[in-house]
Amino acid sequence: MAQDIDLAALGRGDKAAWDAFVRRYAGLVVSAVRGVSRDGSDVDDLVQEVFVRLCKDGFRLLKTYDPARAGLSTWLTIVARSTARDALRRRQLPMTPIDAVPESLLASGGTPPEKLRLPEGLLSPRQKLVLNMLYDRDMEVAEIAEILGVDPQTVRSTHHKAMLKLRTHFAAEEQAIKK
Amino acid sequence: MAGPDDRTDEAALWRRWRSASAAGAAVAFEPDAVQLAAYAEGRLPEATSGTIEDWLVAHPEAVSDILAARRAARAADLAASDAVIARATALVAAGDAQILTFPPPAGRRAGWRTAAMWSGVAASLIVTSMIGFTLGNSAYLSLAGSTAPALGQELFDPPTGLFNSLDEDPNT
Repeated sequence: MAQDIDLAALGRGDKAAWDAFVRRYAGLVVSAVRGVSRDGSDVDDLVQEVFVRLCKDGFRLLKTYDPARAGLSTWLTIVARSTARDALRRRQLPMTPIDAVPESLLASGGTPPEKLRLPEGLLSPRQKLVLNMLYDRDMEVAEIAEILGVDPQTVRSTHHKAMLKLRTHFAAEEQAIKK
Repeated sequence: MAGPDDRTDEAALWRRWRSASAAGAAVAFEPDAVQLAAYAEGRLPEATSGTIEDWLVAHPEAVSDILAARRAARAADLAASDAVIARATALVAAGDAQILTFPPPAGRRAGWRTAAMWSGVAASLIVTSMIGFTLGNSAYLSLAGSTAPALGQELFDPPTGLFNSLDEDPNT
């Protein structure tokens, strides 16, 4: 996808390269931003914010893109969504979605966080992410599999192994406490 | 996968582990867009993927970005309007290919004139206050029958105040 765009010329601020880039990827940026926008009325402004960010400071952000490491569409989608979210945050009163607040902070003066001796690396990062998406975000296995780029059975297997580790660990802790 | 009751127990186990491990779990690593894009395309080595997955646990909105990025490669893009394209292309000027910028609005510059003006206002206020106090004081003293000369008399009627010590006849 990036083959039809002269990235070197783009980084130099070449007008023709920039126009070609905008015409080629404006639709993708609209799609990406629409997923972040709350009511759709600010999509055009958010799209403009993305392009401003791309050419700001002598195309500094655009120059960080490396075609050897990732596709331009993938990179642009991530940049567009991140930029749109930042723009929306700046326009709104500071509000933290309740899902983003750790449960320990939501507790109304209740019991302090349990102090367990957790072995380093009890759960792998992949296992933590799977459990986070399953239980904190209520995502479906198929969706998680899509995000991780694996098949759904792998997600189930990861979940199963993680739960086994947690059960074993907490059972051992409780045995130790009883003694 | 487990049934509904098992799922509830499993969710409780996960939250118990998470709350216990939350302290000090702040991840200093902050991936950039290229790293996230490479992760979305499955192009990262396992160790780096793990670091990003640790980061994703703390940044749920980025998980949605990864999903959107994966789907972007397959889905057809929405069409951008001509207006959107025109606004974006206008960001780069033709010819010298410079970004169009506008100078910041001229702000108020506090120079010596402004300082002198405010000093004059302050001095006027002080002098007015002093005169007002003095006149008021004089009026009070004269009503109270005080024999001591008022400050104002000393300032504005020198023969009775300032030059008393010169042995001048106050009645002349």
